[in-house]
Amino acid sequence: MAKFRYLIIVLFLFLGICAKAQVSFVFLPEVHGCTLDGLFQVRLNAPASQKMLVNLNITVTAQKAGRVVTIKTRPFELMPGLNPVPVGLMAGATINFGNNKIAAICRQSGYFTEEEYDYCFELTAADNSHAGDIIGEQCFNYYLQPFSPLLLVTPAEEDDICDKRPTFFWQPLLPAVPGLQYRLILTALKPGQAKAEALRYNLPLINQQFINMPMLFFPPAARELEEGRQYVWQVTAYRNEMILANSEMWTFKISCTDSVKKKVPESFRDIDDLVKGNFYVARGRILFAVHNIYDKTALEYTITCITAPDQVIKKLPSIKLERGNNHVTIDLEDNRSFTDGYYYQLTIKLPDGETKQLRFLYKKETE
Amino acid sequence: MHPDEIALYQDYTICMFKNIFSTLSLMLLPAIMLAQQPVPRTAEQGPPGVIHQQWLKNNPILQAAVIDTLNHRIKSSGSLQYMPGAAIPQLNAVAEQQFFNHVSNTYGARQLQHVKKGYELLKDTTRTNRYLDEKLRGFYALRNETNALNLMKAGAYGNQFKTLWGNAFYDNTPGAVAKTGFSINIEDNVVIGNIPVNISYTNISGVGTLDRNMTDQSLKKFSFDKAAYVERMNGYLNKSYDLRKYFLEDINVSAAVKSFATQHIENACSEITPLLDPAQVAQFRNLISAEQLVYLDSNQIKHLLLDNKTLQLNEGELTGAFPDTALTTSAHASTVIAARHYLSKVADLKSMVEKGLAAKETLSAQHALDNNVKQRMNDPEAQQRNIKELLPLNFIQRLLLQTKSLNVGNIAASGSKGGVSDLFMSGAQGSFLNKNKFLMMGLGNRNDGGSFKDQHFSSSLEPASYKMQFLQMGKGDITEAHSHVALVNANTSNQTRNGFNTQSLSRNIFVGAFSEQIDLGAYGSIAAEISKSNNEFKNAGTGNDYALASKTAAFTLMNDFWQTVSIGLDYTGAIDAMQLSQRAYVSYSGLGYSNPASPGASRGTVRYGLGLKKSWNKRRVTVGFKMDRQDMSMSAITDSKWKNSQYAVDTRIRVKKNFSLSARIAQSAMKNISAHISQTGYLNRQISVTSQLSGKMFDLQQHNNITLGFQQMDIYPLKSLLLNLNVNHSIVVNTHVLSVSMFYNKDIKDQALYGNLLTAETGWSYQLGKLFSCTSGLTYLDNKEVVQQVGVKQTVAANLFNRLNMNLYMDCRKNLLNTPQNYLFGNFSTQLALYYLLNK
Repeated sequence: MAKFRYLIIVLFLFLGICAKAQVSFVFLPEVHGCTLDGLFQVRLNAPASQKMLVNLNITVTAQKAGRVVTIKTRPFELMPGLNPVPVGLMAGATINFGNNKIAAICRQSGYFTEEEYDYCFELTAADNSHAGDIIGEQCFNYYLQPFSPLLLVTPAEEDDICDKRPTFFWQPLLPAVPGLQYRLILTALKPGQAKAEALRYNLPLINQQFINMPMLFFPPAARELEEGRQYVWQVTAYRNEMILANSEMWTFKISCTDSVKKKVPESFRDIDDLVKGNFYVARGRILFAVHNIYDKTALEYTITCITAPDQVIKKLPSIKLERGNNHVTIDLEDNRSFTDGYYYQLTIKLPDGETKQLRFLYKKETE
Repeated sequence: MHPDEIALYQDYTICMFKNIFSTLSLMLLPAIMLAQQPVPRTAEQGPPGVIHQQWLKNNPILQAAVIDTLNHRIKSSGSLQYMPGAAIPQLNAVAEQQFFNHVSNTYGARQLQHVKKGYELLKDTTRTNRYLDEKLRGFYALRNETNALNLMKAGAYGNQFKTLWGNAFYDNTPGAVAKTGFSINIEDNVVIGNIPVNISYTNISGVGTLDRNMTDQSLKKFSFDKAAYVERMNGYLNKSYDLRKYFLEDINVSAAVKSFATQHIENACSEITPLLDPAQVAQFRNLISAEQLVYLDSNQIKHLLLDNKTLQLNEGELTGAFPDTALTTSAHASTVIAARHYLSKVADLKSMVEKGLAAKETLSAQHALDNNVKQRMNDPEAQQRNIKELLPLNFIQRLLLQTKSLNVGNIAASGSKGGVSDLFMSGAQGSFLNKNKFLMMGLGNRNDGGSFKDQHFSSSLEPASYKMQFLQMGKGDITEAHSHVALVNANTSNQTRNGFNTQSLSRNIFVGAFSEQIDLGAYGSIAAEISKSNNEFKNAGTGNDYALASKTAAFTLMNDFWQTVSIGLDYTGAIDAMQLSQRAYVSYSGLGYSNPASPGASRGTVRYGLGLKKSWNKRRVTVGFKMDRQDMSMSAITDSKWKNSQYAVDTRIRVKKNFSLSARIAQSAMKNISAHISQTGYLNRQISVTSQLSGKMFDLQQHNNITLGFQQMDIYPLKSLLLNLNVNHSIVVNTHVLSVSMFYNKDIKDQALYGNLLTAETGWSYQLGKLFSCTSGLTYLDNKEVVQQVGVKQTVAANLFNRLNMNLYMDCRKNLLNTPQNYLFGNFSTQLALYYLLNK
């Protein structure tokens, strides 16, 4: 409803500018006045009771620089009522550009740059009897500011994130024209798939329109994103059914296992073998296998530092021994008493009373 | 050995060369004919190839061994019977016939006939020699009774369906573009003439939320499967040929050379034994080894003799300043005579070994080969070379060996940034790499809009349909260091597709680009781009000249140079020792620049940025900094611009193995700067802290993730301050997982429509029977004064018959409160995905 209200207000506003001709023009300079092709979004309101053969001439003049462009169409039939510009008319139009900087940019890119413009539309009769008669003429004056680029913010391009329901942020398309809204699309990106293909081949996970703010919370009813998978997203700014700008396509990956580090599978060698060998390197932890013929109990052990004998070693983790074979892991990584490159001695008192001693070099675990 | 004998050996050697080449030149005739074919050859100049080619050509030992083996078709024993002086055997009539038959059967009878008739065509000796090497070695390496051509014919055609996908969803979110959607995807692999092609067909359809129109779209893609192609051809190759024999790895040449040299040094020593006492004989015998004979020059050998303390020789004695008669009396004199004789023998032997046996080359070649053969058999690039050398390939099959990719259908096309980038089109694109020369070309139609995802749009501010042709070529592969030229030619096209109107003023756009990537080794790489566009409208004129013209944009490419040029410089690199990775870039593009083959290309901007990421203490602490600035000019005559900046600092600290903290501080802003006004249109400041903790609590494995964030968001004239809290907690109970998550967002200033959203949900995962793994949960949502919902959530996943994978998701809610402002939250959403593996 709000959109129609804007349309009606704009319509009334411009109806007043020129009332000398019968045919009036509906044109939104803030949107349609941005590009050369946009000029053809004009609608022609013909109150006449019968159809006419007409030519449409469009002239755009910049206040400071002079005439920018004049476009003339081939003759076409104007029907009573509100007419869009007929299909196929643009392809045959003739164009004449002015001799100024604004016109040069327009000639190259099809975009109008910042300036105050007069967009003038003129309909002339094209049938033999009245050829050249002006049957409609209307100018729209507007200070045009070209749109800013539509830029994405977060999740950042090629980022790894842990949030499986991320919130999407982008920068608004400025200046804010009435009725401007955003559409956000998110799809999975299969391994080896190009971004542009993913957006068209895969069913979208989110394809939400009518977004007024440059952000979107992950839709609560949608399925959460999956660990280890890559996704691609893009935002489109539009007004009614017209695309104004597309953002870049950005990808991100859900990666949560970051802090839960994968343990490299290592073998547990028997403590007797370890003790016989004279050198053991503990990379963040000591691993050994021990056989316990008695009932389950806590493992009695101490560690002393050989490199710095004064050092007191505290907060060693408690280890439980089950009956039978035990794979023991003594985790030292987060213990501040251990220094990378120092030598230590582990003394274990087994439940059968036997004591084992293992000398080892402590190394911080590398990632 | 007598000097005459040695001379005889040399004669033999020369004779042997003549013999073998006369024999082989007859055999290589088919080669000339085959070589006349437009043979596209890649990278055959690589080191292993060269070694093999020259080796057999220059090496009589190998020639003898190969020919002898072929004559007797016996398995090589790995050692050599050949000695210089023995005549090199020629291919006997039977073997020759077999070789002709092999060439004729595998490479075609016509070629062979031409060969026999066209003897006079033998001109290009380099080609003939290489061909000789390849084909003769190929014949030598032939496995019994297998013919590559027959194998290739037998396996030339095939079809294998791979997978069948089906997806469907229903979602009644008021603002969803589509209410229902269906997609079916079939993946098939077809082999035509031994060329494997992957075919993917996707149909995607659905009904829009607002217009209730059914949209239906079919997408097809045919892509040449290079990896499968090489694998298939390599299979034929290994079935037909023993590659180890092809590389002559089975012949131990160096051992033969060494044993020959050792034996002749020994002979020389025996000749001088009567002149010497036993101690001196021992000295002579141990003086030089076979390797020394090959690698030392005659002067160095002489010095070995002079440096020997037992022999006590001096330079004058060896060079002949003493008259022979005066020497014969003393014992030392006989030593001198012996030494002179020894030297002359060794010199002769050396010359024979070097010239006749190409010993130096042989030894170093074998050393290189021992390292290379494995690589030459397993490396994909080398495999392609072997395939080309040995298999009978037609023109297309040869061309495909140099093809990197070939896609036809609805495809994404990409080249360098200033040329084709992130383009989606219906058409064809291929890229080729030969001898480090790269060529990419394509043509197709770009059509924006009208697709399933864009079903609610009917027009666009920019032209949305182009017919285009593009090309990129130059030195080096596109992913590595290269210098390329890229050209794009595009014409707008007018059509209406699926209700999307692509009417536009007719124009022709031409883009010429140059891209250079420089490899800095361990320090990364620099990519430089310069791209120039030119646009010509149809039926257009300028100023008071009312003559209309439709110029070709390519001919006026240099028009409006600075307004339509785009230049970029991008550096990325890493210093591993410092655990630092970095990127810096700067780019400029004129206000009039337009490149339809690169939809994301910017106009009228100056961009620059910096990215740094550094880790400390074995990655316990990681800090990343990112800055991107972009000024986009708005005006052709003033300095008005959109000034954009984005900064972000990310920090991650691993406090403990199972506990990490991360923080993010970021700001992005867009300012409007002009003569009249300087205004911040958008400002977003964000600070957030996340903790991740996992470990055992109450004997249960738990995982916790909390994010707390503040966000200032000013969108002129609105100013909001958002607080958001996101908590996820999961507990593993035996084989089940209990998860609880909560998201809360509060707009502290009560300005944004989004404000004050609370969502909460729980989930319990469990196994249902042997087949189904499920998660059930409860959900709650409260968007203050807009919507309030409570509901259930269910997922079911199953793997049936080892082939069918099923995945069902359902979210069903009851609205406790609903208002017309709600466009975000529907109350029923479901998804079904089926994946069927057609062939394992």
